[in-house]
Amino acid sequence: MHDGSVTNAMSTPVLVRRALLLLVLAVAAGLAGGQSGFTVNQAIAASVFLSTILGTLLFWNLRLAIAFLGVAVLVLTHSLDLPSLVKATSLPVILFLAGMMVIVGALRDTGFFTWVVQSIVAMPRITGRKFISVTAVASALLACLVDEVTSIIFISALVFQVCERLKLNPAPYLITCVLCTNVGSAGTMMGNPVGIYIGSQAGLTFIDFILWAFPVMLLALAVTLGVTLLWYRRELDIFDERLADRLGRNLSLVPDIKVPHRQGVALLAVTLLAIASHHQLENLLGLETNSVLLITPLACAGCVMIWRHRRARFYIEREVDWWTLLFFMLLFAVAGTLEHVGLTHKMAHGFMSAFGTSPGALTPIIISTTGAGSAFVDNVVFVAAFSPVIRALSETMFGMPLWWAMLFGACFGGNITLIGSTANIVALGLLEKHGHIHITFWQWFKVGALSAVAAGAVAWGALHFTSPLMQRYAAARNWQTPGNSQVP
Amino acid sequence: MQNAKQVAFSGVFQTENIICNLKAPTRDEALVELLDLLAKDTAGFDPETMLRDLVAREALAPTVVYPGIAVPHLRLAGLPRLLLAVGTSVAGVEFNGGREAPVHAIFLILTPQSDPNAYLQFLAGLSQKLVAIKDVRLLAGCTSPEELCAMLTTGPDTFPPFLSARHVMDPKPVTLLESDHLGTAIDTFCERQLHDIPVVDEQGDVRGVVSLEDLLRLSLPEHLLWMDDLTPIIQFEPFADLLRKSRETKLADFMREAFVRVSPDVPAIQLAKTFLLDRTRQILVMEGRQLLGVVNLRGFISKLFWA
Repeated sequence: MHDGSVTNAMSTPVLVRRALLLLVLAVAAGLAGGQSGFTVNQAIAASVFLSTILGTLLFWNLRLAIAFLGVAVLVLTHSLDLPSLVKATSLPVILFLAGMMVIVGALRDTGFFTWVVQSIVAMPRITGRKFISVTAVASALLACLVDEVTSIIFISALVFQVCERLKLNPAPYLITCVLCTNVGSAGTMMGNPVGIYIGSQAGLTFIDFILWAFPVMLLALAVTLGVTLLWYRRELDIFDERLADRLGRNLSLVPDIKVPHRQGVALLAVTLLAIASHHQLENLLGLETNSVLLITPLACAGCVMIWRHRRARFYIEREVDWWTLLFFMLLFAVAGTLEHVGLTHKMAHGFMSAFGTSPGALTPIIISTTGAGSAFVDNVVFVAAFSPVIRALSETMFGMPLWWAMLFGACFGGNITLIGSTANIVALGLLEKHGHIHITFWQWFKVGALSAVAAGAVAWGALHFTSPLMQRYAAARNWQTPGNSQVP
Repeated sequence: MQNAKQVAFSGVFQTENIICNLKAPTRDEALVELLDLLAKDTAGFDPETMLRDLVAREALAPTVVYPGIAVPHLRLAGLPRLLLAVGTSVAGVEFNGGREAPVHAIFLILTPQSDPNAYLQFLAGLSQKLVAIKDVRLLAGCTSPEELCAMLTTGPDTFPPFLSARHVMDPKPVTLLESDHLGTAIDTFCERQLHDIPVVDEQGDVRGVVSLEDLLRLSLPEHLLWMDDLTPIIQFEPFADLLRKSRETKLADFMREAFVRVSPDVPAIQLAKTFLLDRTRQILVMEGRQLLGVVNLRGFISKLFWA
């Protein structure tokens, strides 16, 4: 359930000015590429990719149109042929996301999210700090299970409901939950589109994520929660006072309801179990790495549509965010072109000559680069661009920590600014709609950047200490980035 | 068929269709007198049927639209044009079984069934004239049809060119103050049998609206509505909390600030479209932030198709 209606009314003169800026920068990038020894196709690919990045920044609502035009330019200029276009769109990743969206729709219908919210709000001996901590952690874990945007939509409804009852400004509590949700989205490959994209590009399995990403996410979550609880301590004191006053008057936060949840929990458990066992199933059936993983949500969604056949069309038409999925497909194609024309190797060499070839040195660089990039550009855009570079780097060094560094940088970096992740944009849109509250860039930046730096530092430290273990694990599991021949 | 917008008041008020000082003391007798005046133009229509239909309409929706003035109305299939008969009474005619003060002027209007706007446009024009006359006793005091006719045809001579929100709105709707409590709203909804109520501030500026659904929304947590099927939840008392705090929750806390509004000159057809596309039951007619009246879907339909 995604909100694609984030509108950004723009006057015609502003639109024209921005379009001209986009065009000038794209052409300048192409010309600069030509001067730096790029082939014509490399210069065009770089130019189109830059346009797509700038397009998301300057024309959020027109990003799909820009991606359409970009792909058309690439094909018409022989920078990308049709078979390569189809391959680069990462269709299995798109189908995985579509399947998960259908499952999320069914989970909502069957009361799973209602049960989660009801369980939080009805917990015994509730206090303000306890409520916000539990809600934020639940939001992070829910992001791991479904995805960050779905999680924040449901959790924000809970925050609004409780704040409305207590006549509180929901902004501090919602920001706390969003920051934790972004951190939580790094825990599994379902948490964020970048997770499944990295998983499919790097050949990482669900279990790899559980072993190497989930624990780091938990540490980063604890730190983020600590930072935000400290930052909003005064607001939490007020929350405590109002809550105690309300409960003292024998008024509850919500009516006491027993929500039926078994069907929803069973659906989620089956899906998770199937996803978690994908590697074993692939080995058993002699299938390619991650083929079961990518197809599992689709199979589960198919079963859901048969089970709830009355709602099948609704799930496909309303629950699947086709706008975003189409954008991802074309974005992957544009990013894939960089690799297709051989530009990513040049970028990787440039990266290595600038920052060295030691994974220990490159890890914090990748975390901070992807973090800073994701703060201002859609993290999927950034990861799609950076993946081929990491792949190229993996040819000459042990690449697994670099993939994790990119995952953490992309997810945690989304906390830095209020446009850093789709979850932030959706949550702030809901805040404006429900509470008529507008959060300024700096209001967000102060707490967001602080928590992102703290979480990034945790990730760096964790990767630094676990890299040797990771190397032994990768050797034992015979892991290597798909398409690479380098063995750790 | 004669189009109402082309009709002039002077063409409708005809001295031979006016009786100054009706003899009849009661509604039904007065209606008989007035129908007799129109007999030559209503040849082919059964007077007894017309009287029965008029009385039936009065029973369903009394037409005493202003104090002392009644505007009984009938739509007739096959009638070529709008017909009007006027009767005045100094003593007054008992109109609704004595439940209201006697009326001093009766405007009996017969319109073609195929022209639903004719009655409303005439009524809109008539109301402007009555506002100008101010006192209904001036009408009743006229001693000749010519004098009455002259009084009613003073000023603009044509009906309003089109039916607008101003003509179909309820100019005195029930409103609530934003400082009113939830309990007051519940009482008003139930006693007045309303679906939607505008909420205004002390200056009469519109601040929002509340509807019956808002009361439900207040008592049903949003997260329950995510579920497709709520039938498994049978142990649920959503209203206990709501009622416990009905005297401490103010309308400003839960009224909807988004509502459908139009300016008074918006044509009726636009209202019809708004009702259909916005799926609303009530449209607020406003000038700036000031509430002029409301158009309710039920009233709108009744005025267009039935009144």
